[in-house]
Amino acid sequence: MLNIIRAELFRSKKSKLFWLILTAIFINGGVYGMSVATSEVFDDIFIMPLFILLAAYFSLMIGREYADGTMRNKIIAGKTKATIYFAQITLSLMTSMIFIGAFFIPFIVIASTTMAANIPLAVILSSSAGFVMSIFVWSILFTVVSILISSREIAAIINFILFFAIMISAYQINHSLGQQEYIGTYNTETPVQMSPEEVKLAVEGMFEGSHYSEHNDEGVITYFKIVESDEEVLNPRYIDEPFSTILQTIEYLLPYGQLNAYLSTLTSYMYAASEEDVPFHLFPLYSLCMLAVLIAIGFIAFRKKDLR
Amino acid sequence: MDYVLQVQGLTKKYHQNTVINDLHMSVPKGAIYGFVGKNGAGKTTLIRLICGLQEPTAGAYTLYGTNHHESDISTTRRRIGAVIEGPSIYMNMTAEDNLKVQYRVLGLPSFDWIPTLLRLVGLEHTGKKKAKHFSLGMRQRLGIAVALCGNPDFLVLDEPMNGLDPKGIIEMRELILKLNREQQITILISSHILDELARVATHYGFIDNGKMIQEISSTELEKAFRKCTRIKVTNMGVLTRVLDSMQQEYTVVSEEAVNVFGEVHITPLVLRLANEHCNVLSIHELDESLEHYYLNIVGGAKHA
Repeated sequence: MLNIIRAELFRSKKSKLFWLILTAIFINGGVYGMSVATSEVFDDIFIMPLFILLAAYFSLMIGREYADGTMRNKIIAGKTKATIYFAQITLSLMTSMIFIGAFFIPFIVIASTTMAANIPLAVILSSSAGFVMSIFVWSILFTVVSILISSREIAAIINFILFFAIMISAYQINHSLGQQEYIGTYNTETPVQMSPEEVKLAVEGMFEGSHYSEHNDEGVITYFKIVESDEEVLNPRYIDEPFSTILQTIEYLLPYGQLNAYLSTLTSYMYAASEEDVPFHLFPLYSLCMLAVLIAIGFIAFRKKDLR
Repeated sequence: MDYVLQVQGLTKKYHQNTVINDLHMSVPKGAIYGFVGKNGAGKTTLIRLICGLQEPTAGAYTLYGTNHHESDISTTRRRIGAVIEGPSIYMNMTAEDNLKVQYRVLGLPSFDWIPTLLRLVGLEHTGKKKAKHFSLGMRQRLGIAVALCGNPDFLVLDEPMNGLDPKGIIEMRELILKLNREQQITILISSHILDELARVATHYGFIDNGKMIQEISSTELEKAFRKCTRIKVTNMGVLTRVLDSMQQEYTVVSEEAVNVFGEVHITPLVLRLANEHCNVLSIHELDESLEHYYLNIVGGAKHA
């Protein structure tokens, strides 16, 4: 396995794609650092290119093995499929670490002052560790897809689709879980006529609340106020237990769900807002579970795959 | 006789489609084994199976006496080099870097033999030129160099002459002969360029529809070629009547010529034709080609 890793590291070193992606990730880290330093918000929009670059890199680099037919050389050289597979997984994790380094170095240089002033060091370190774990999950996901699909173009498309599907799913779950159990209604069909005192306040622009006026044919103006109804109705979009817990777990299992949780927590520290009750201590465990499942599925499928 | 590869009843199915069907085959040590078959006959699939890229549905094969079910087949496979369906090389790398990658995969400690290997395949002057800028012939030779990195005893070449220009074909032929004669490498070549194969092969295996029709050495093949004599005359009617009376097998190829198969007793034939006032314009022996032989046996297999 070490021989394959050595060979692949040599190939990466010689690859223009590797250096191009590394440079792009370095720039992305700098841009993200500037975004945090100037807006004091950890916005996920500026971090998205990192995942797209990872998807492109693993699809194209592993896809080249199939396109050039060089995957065959390893099998013919007496390497088992298990050796090739686990060498590729190890290599992907190593490459991810290099990419993470390229992202974090400019990010920390630019954003460290802003972060250090607002966020405790322990939170920064634990968030960073969790973020690294979630990057590993992304990398292994893209690797497994690329090693199972011989066409690099199709692998790249599937990896991009998977990234956006996971992102949208995480957002959707987060939105659904944020729904209130009851929602208030406003009674606008039966307007309530305002008292003379209230009319006086309304004319002076001092009335608190919504109101409107009507005038009849003789020019008499009548003021009405819009009264909020006391009754509340059950929100049909509210998700009750146990589904809310299940959905919450799914959200945190998704690497994008974890990312969102980290980013919103870091942002809340910037504005001294109250922390949400997020089980951050479980995130690395969730990531490890995802890694184990992905690696196992990939291994079973790769062993059965006919190579050409 | 020592065999490098022995295949026993090998079958490969893709869903319901049987590509290799109960195939038997033996490649003797030191041979250049020409694996002959039309496109889709199952040549490449068989090569993929013996190289370990795919698993057979049924049957077995042994490489240097190791059955493919045995755990040390991977170790035995290190004695093979192969170029399957075109050269397996990194197009964005130089010839030397391609060899370095394969050396690392094999865990070879030194790159000392790389210049020799490049010289052997005639790529010693390619320098920094990347493989994507090579001609097809150069790529094929680089593919062979990659396959030779582990110093194999058995080289498998799948259609190595496909797409090559005449110069490339000659270079490839010379390389194959050099590897076999100077390095004592047993070579299995699949090809449908039969004239070219006939110049190098010492043994043949004819495959059709996933089945081995015949295995034969080149010496036996030469003996098996049916003799054929082309006779041109002025009166076709007389010739056919005389040949029928002499119980000779023949086919009419034009208004004045026939191909006569088997031994022809020329003197009595010419005398009888002369008696019936039929002049003989020409007589010459035709060599049956590998292609004719293959078509005959494939046709025979279909009609069997």
